[in-house]
Amino acid sequence: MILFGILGLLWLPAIALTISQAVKPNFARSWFIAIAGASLAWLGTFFLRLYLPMEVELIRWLPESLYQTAIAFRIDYINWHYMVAILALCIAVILTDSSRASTNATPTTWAAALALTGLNLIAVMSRGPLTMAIAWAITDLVELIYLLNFNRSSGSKSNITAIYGVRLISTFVLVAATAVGWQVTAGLDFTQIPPTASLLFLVAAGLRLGVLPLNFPMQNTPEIKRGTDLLLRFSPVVSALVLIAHLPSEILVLNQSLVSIISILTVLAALYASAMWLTRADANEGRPYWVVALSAFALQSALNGQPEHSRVWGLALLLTGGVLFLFDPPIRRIRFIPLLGLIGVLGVPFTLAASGWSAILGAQVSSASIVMILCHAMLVGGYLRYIVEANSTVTGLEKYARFTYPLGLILLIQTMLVLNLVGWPGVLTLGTWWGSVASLGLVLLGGFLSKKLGLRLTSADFKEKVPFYRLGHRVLNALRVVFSLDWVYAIARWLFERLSDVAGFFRQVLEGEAGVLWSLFFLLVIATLIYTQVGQP
Amino acid sequence: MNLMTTPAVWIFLPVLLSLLLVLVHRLHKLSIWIACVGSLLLAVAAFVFPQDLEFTLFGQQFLFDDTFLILNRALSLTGSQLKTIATLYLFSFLWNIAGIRFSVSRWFPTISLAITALWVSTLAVEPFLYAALIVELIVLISIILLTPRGEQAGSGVMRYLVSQTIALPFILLSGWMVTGIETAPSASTLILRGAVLILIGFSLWLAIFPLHTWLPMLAEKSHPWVFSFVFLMQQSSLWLFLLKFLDQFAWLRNLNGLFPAMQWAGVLTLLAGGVLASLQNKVSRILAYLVLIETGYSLLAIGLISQGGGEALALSFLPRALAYWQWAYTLSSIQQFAPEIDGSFPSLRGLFNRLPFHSMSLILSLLSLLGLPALGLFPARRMLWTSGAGLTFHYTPLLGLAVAGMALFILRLMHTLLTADPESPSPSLSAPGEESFWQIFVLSVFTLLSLLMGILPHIFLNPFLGLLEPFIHLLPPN
Repeated sequence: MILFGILGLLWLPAIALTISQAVKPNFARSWFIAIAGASLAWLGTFFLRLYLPMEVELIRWLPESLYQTAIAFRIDYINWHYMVAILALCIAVILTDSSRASTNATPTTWAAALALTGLNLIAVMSRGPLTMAIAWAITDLVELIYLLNFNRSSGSKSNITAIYGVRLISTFVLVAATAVGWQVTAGLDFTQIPPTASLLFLVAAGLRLGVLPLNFPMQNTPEIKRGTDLLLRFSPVVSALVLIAHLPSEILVLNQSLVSIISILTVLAALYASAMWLTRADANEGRPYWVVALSAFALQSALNGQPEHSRVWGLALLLTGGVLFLFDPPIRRIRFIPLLGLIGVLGVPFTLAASGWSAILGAQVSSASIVMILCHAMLVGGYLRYIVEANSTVTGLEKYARFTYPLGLILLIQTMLVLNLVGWPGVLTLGTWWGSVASLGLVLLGGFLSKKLGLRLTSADFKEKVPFYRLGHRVLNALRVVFSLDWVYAIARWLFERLSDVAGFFRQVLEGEAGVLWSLFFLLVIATLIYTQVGQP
Repeated sequence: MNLMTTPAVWIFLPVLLSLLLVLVHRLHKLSIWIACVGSLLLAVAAFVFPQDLEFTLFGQQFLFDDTFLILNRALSLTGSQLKTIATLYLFSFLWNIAGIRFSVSRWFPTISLAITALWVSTLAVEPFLYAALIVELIVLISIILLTPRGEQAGSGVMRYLVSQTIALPFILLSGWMVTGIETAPSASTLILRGAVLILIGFSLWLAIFPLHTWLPMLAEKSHPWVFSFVFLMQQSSLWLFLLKFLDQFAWLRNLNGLFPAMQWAGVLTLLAGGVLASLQNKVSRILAYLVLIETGYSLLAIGLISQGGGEALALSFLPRALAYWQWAYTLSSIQQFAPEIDGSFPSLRGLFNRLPFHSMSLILSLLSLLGLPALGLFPARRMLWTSGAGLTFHYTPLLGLAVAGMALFILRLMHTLLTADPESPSPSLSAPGEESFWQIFVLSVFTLLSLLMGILPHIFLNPFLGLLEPFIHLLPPN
């Protein structure tokens, strides 16, 4: 009942906002409706915590023998904290949105934010892969319609097809994974994923996260940067993270070489994305890399046999990332607030991410572990850099915005702290403490060196001051070219054109004057084949 | 002559009605309304009619006979076939009710009703041999619709006629050859030859790969509304007819390797449809490949009949029809708005700016046919994918390629619709707001219906499982 209440608190205000905006627009009333709905839903999730784990069956397709499917939800320690985080993000977006004159904050976008959050919750709470596939498909369609509507005026739709294409493929990979999984357990839910299907599930999640293969389809969409659109960018990520957390820990018993290849690709994706994150001009430009880097952390956790610990990196992606990306305008006076957001990603003992270290470092220290520590250090370093470089001094903020804007950021930090206490059993742990120490050491070393050498990415003499700058720049550019996958698209386009030529030739032959004769020829071939095959034992 | 028979109601009455429509065919709106009301009444009557064909009305008892004898031949429509009849007349109604908007042939209401009645009669006639003649008759009268108004019959139409006519002797020959075959041993050469003739006949009728070459030619020249109707009816009826064959003749269904051969033929047809669709640059031809893909899925479903394929086939009847309807309606409507759009990709560039709801409707109908989760065809598709993957892993990559091919076409179409040509923007593509409320409503309702069927198949699609009831030998009731 509480669950449906939560969904109702998101969707009913969304409908109310749409109607109210159409009938009698009122900005303040709309804002209040949106914030009230989202806040009550967020508080509702804490009641759910008392009943974990819980299952709710929404629709059962009958007869059971035919479909073996139910659209059902399960809320447990794998996904409850994601629910809390999404709702906190939704509230924070609405709270901070009204303070930004530069964005397209309207009651319609808040209605979209509430509706999308509700849909997202459905995907997050799915009990089985089919429910998740249905939720993914609907969320993607809603997002597509929203993006097309949003972009109608601006006229920029170049990347929408690519974004939707990747999502579509990931949905079908999930369906394929389910079909493979059903060969072992018909009607399986997430607790029954067989190791034989787990790699396909991992690929489905990896595609949606932009890690496997590495793709950044949304990095060149300048219109979508902050505010409500942050939810749009994070919505496919959250449910994919939940899917990773549900994977069986026996993933390593599969084809070892295949797992190793995927692991190498994941580590490379993490390395590339964190290096790019560290070196972007501002946080918004680096956002796709933040998402990909922390998603790679989550994938690596699953590949190391600890999928449930991927949640800490997922939460860091959402909450710590949310604080930074919503810190816009980056007001210098309050930059200590986003600095507190680091608590969710540092992984120092007894903080939220502490349990995540063992998952990304693996059972024993390897080269992959060292690379992951380096990636982590670059992520933290980049985060610090974007805050330190914040120098905006906004003067024209509305009176209410002076309160709501920091409140939105603080809410996310509060959520981290609350989850740090009640997120899941054993959340307060020492963890692999030396991972965070090593990473912090690297950050401090990097900070010290940059201070000593007077390095500032934005300064004019940066190129001269950095040793081996040209070499590093070339390497990074080469990697960028490789990982942009433009060469793959070029090859695919070339292949497609050649195939089209071949198909065109056959079309001309078959639809030309001699086409009937060709049909008869094929008829004879088929008759012969059938005659020789059918009837044989 | 007993007229209180089911064939009299669902075959002779609509045939008479269509003959009446011949007289008023110049009054286009009137004939459409008569065809609509007639089809709807026949569909509803078949749906509510008791299976034992006996009911009491106003205190009087009516008992219908299920057989009508004519020239020593029988037309037999049993109670278990009523759902099939209801489905076919429902399709006829759906295509007539919206057909009024488009400039299709004036003969459409007349012929559509006649075609529906004739397809019902193919499922009713005994001995089955005569069904082949009725199919030929349907093909002949379909030509009137498929030939564009005021034009000569093109090569696509001619090949359609040739292909369907060649199928006729195969079916007839098989019928004569296998008379009394039940007494022959199962591996006899006679059975094998009979089976091969039947399968070749059906392959030609259904345009199974590689005998499909006339389909895109026909789709390109014919009106999408007419093409979708003719081939939806043909597909739906012929699949049931094939099931009837398999149900009726034990020697056929017990033939070694028959069902695996059907599975392979289905997978290859599906693959050909997917790959060829991905390379297409004309939306007017794409309906042909959609038909080909659906043929592949249906054939695969029959091949997997013992693994739930029959149910998958039955569950796909309505969502497939609605997806065809939505695609054909949207395409016809676009052609109505902008006659300069010839269906090629360049002519569709940036159409979203002008007709956003139509553009989305094109995409959504294709996504439904693709089997996207949450849309109408997903429950049926999921069963086939799972059964196919369970049977042999050979099918999995081929099915995956077919789905990927169609997905590629959808994404290419989406990209075309969304991306306006910056160099030569067509002036006609820059005037938004042409879509009326009514059109938006219709397109939205069909999208919503597809969603409902995808999420609640047990409510919307389970009644169609009744289509399988007559096939008691092939699918023994539990």
